Amino acid sequence: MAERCARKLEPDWTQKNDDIRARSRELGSHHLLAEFDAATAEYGQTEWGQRSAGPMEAFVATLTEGLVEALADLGADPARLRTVHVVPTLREDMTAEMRPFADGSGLVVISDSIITLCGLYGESVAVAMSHLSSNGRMRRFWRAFNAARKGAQGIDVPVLTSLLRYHNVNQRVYNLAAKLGLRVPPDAEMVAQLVMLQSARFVIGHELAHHVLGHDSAPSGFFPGEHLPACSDDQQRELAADLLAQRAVVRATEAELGDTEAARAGGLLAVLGGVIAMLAVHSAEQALFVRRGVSHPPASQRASLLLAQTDPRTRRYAEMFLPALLAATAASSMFSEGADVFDGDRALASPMVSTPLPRTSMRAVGMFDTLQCLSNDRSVQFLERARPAISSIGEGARLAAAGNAAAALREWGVSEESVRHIVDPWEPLTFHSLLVSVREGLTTRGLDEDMRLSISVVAARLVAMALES
Amino acid sequence: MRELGFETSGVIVESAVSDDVTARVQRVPEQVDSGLCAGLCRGANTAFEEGAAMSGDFIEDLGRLSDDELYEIVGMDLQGTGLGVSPADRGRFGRFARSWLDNKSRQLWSQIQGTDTYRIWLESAGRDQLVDPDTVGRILVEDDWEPRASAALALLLVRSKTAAVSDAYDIAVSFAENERDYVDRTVTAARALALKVFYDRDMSNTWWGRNFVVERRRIYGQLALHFVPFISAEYLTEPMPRDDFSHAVARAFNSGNRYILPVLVGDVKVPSELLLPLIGFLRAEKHTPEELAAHMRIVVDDSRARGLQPRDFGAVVHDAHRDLTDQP
Repeated sequence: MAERCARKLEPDWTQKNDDIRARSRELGSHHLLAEFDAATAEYGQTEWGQRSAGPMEAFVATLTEGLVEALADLGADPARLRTVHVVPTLREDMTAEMRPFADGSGLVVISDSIITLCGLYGESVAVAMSHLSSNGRMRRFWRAFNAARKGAQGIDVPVLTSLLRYHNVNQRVYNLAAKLGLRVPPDAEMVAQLVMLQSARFVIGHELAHHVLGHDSAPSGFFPGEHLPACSDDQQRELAADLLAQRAVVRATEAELGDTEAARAGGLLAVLGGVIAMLAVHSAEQALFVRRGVSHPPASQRASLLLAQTDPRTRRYAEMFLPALLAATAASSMFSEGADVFDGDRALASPMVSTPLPRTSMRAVGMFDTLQCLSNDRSVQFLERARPAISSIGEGARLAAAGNAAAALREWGVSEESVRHIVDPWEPLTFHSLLVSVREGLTTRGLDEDMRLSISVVAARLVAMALES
Repeated sequence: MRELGFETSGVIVESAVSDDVTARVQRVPEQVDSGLCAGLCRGANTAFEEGAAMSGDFIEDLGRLSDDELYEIVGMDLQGTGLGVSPADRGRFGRFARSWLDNKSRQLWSQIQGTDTYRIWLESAGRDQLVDPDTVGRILVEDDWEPRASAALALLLVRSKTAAVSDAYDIAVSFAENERDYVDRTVTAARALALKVFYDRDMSNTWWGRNFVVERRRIYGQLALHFVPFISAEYLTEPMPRDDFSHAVARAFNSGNRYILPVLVGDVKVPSELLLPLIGFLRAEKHTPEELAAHMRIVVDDSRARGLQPRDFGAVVHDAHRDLTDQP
């Protein structure tokens, strides 16, 4: 059953490539188009290219093969391993989940967005490593000392925060897994790829581990809050899956690289990869949800448990990066007054950030971020003044600010059924889902298209605050 | 009733899928010999019946749902549901299904058009006819889709094809066999006036009736500014199923729009409950086919000037027929 479902979900990679080309043409970026075509042609000549037109598919398939072998080496039942299928999907949602079927088979679904986010964290770590180890011993020493003193071991927290925030705003407003590029120095590229590779291995390994461990009484997922009810048993299972995944990643790396220096580095980076995968989930839980169910334990708790299983040297190394990564994740997840909002102009001016997007797009993201970080009073003022002819907008704003989310939603024309779901404290809710409901409601109130999204963002955020309180 | 010129409005459109479909229609007779065809037909008919049993009812029920609701159904089938899944965030199912179908649509159509079931449908299809959701749903069921999800997906696929139609017909005609000669000359004259006309020699009233009533098939994808039934005694009095279709047509143009432009042929007595007094019509006897075509040209120009949009007349008539048969 899992295999049949996997076949349906499998993306059409040819179409995906055509879409990328079309998008490049729309942007007028002939450079991007040429680069993409060259990369596609080069990829076609590789071993992976012979397997699939989709690099993501070949990537996931290759990693899965290694992990399945590793799990078998670690004692997992080979018959059970044969019943699990892994498929990548072109999903904007941050998700990796294991779906159990009645016939005992399991389907692991990995969205490319989670790998993308892992890549972003990985690049930051790689740049930091490169930064720390360049330009002479004294300067390295000084940087390391300084970074350790600040608790930000070489990682540029504001830049990482900005990159993560850009991703989070796009997810919250547009449900898009958009990502700005980080310029990675040539000497850090290999490390960046290795960290990303290991974090991807961990994500897949975690879901495979659920299948191996027989966690099939309920679907399990990396997607926060969607599947798992709040209960400690489930969290215990997540931790068990983490530990088995980590062992599988290390074993798969050893099998791939043998007893080499690279393998030892790979083992080290495997720990970082695992931590990064946890942070990616943690980031989504913190930043994208208005109300969460409980899926995984907090990243810091998971990371601590994972690090406790590693040798002291590796642990110390990984721990050097953890505070900075957690700080950037926390700063990028805060959508309230006083947050360090995304600044498109500043990002474009940064020598570390790379994007083909025009300044207007970047500014739009900054504007939507700002609108989500207004104080309640300013939000109400904004809504009262934005379209004074539609009195229900201001009335709803005052109700939401007073903590009456349901009444505000009704005032804005949100259907009774949606209101019921939105205010139900037991149901997880993403900001984007809330925004869609509010926008649909306001449309029925006659709100014009020009201001619809902006007003809806502010209104949804007011409701989110009311629900959180 | 008062007799009017075609001062009304309306449009009918050409199907964008036509290139592919037409090419297949033209190829099929050359490629499939009669023995093979008969074999395929038997197999396909069995599959059709089984598929219909599983998905046909869903098509009827889900046909009233919005695209958002259909995407949600498809997304739930693809992603699955389980303990603790949040109904509040079911929006994610819809969002996922939308992006999934954006990516998979071309592949799915390619798979659908490669099936025997589709090829058999194509043989009975009219020129430029867009495949109906029933047929697509049955094909998907054969491909292991769950019946309800297959119905939802079939509706989405066909709707998106229909929406992709950009080259609309000006006029679509419906007629009884007796009027074929007159209709044929009218269509020729209309085409000479650069009107795009949905007309095929096989698309008589019988063809429409068979599709709508016997096979319960919605004729999707034919959009037109105006639908022109040539209403004769035969058109109204032929036994079922044509009669049923004709009543549906009459009911549709009684529903208050001027999208359907009836042409009365001969001394036909249209029951008052089918043709209200204020409905505008033309009498064929008072106009040569060339004059009728000229009238059509004027009406179409006027409709375009008023910005009227082409409509899916298959859906209009289908809905009217459903309402008719739902009556006690």
